[in-house]
Amino acid sequence: MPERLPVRRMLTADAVNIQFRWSLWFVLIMYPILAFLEAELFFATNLPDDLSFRSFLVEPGKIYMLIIGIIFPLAYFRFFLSQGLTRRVFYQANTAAAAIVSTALIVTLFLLSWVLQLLFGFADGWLTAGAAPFPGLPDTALVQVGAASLVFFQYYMVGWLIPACFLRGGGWMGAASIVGGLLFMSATDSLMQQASLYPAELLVPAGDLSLSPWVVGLLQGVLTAALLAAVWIVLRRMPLKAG
Amino acid sequence: MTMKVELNDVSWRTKKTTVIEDVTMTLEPGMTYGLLGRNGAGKTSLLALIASYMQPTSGTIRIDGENPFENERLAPHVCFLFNADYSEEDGPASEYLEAAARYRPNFDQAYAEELAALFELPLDVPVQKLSSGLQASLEAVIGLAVRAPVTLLDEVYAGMDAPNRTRLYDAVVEDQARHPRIIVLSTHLVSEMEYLLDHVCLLHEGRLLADEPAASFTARGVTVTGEAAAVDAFVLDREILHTKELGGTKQVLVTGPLAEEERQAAAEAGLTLGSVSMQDLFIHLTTKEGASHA
Amino acid sequence: MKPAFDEKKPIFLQIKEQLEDQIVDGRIQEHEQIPSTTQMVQFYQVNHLTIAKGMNQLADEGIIYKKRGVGMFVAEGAREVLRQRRRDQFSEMYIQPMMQEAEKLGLSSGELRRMIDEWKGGGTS
Repeated sequence: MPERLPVRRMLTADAVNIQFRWSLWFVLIMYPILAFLEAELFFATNLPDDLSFRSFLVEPGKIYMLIIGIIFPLAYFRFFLSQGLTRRVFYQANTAAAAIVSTALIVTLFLLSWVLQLLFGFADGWLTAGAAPFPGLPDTALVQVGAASLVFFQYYMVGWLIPACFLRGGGWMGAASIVGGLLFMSATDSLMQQASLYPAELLVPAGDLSLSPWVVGLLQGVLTAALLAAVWIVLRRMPLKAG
Repeated sequence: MTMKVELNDVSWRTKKTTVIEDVTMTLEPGMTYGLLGRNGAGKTSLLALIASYMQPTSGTIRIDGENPFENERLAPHVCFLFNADYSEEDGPASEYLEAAARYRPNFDQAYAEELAALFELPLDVPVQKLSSGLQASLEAVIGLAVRAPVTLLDEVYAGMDAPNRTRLYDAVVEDQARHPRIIVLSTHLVSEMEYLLDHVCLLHEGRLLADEPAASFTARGVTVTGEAAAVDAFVLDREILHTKELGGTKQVLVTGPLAEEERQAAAEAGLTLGSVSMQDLFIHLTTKEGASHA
Repeated sequence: MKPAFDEKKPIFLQIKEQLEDQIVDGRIQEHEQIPSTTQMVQFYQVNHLTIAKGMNQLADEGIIYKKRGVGMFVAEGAREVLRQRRRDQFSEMYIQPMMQEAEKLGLSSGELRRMIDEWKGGGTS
């Protein structure tokens, strides 16, 4: 239907717009913290080995995406539905928005870090060979940044799923979604790090996974599809509260 | 654009209670409906069902012949407003109007601004900082300016102050005449809104007690006043909704309407017959005494 | 303020009569537009169906006429028709009840006439 597209496009634009503004704060807050740590470490006698782009930007970025994944739909789902939009439209548009925000955020972090590194030697080592966020994957900016944006997106969707489960099915379903969400995050991290991480290691034996990038890609595809389906299944009949 | 709303045997149950039970009714374009009911009667739930906030447990809802739930064609044409919690909303009222302008096909920005001025509603102040009366006015502004063929206003006026309520009633009359649609006004403040209502749907404990034109609804009640014994004799075989006495004078509210010969008989017995306000009838039909007879 | 209506008479008739009064005493001239239904609903705080009932009767009687999309107007000769009708009703509406009451009080027609003259004199002075 021709008139269908504009609504989705408008809502995606609105959702991106709001979440970009939130993310700007995240970026503006993270770099001063990093600068502070840099200064601290300058005086420190022994530097920790894991001071990397991953631990100082990708990991907080994931948590940040998880949090806005919880907050944004919670704050805006009813607002947009009460403008005469359906659950389906909101789901599709905001999923697209989450993908855009994820990519934009990691690209911003990557480019900023790269520029700062070139200019000031700031955060030296974050982007150099051997310090890639995802060591099991090809060490190119495109693959690493792409993988990080996928993980950001997944964390956002996990964040979206949890309150939706609470609202849809009450306490038990909500609690189950927290367990499921933790397992999911652990699984995707394990795949990306090529090492079985807690709590997924309770199910899969700990140790190096050493899977080929293609297998990682395939498994990530399956995981992402399952996550997208789960969010939609929970959302499609979600009751809204009046009052 | 006009749309018809049809509910057929609609029930909505939660785990613990039945909130809406077997409601069947039709809403016709161009009519202003009064959805009357006491607190907890299920008014909000019924409107929320029509607005696809949730799905009925059983029964069907049709708008313009289609199931409205997750219906992209219908959703923009159904507008449901209620006293929402704005304590977390730091955006100004103008943002709400912008959103309506963006997503509602019939939204009239100029009219919205005119109404906002009428209600003395500042558009640039964060909504959370507005008084609850002005927050309610914002809902009223949106509810009217969206011009949705199915407009459902759930008690939004209850929080407004008296001058703004009067302005709202005038606006409802004017705009309904200019752009006829279905307007449902749910309320338990019946007296001051009585004249707005073309049709009455009376909800009591989840069930529809009455669904009829306002005039025939009020004709359901007739007061019989006079000497106690004469009144008692006259109302002997009738359903009594309410009784009050002062000295030897008794006034009884019975279900009407009365036939012409009954009116004559009353006159001959020295009894005075009176009409009853929608408010009084509502009260007596939905209190224990009346509900058991209805 | 909600205008007061007489409980004993249908409201649509009372509204109709109020409009007739305005036509009879010239507040609304022939061919002049009468207030819209919306305005009357707002003024009387009475449902539009009730207003419409009264106005439709006036239209049927030829007192007012409708212009599509514009409104309703006082018909030519309406004032004279209403005046004539009121004259016809005068005896029934005022003389009859007055005579009945006078009878109850035992007033003779001579006394009545004197009272009317007195009232007139008091009214003009």
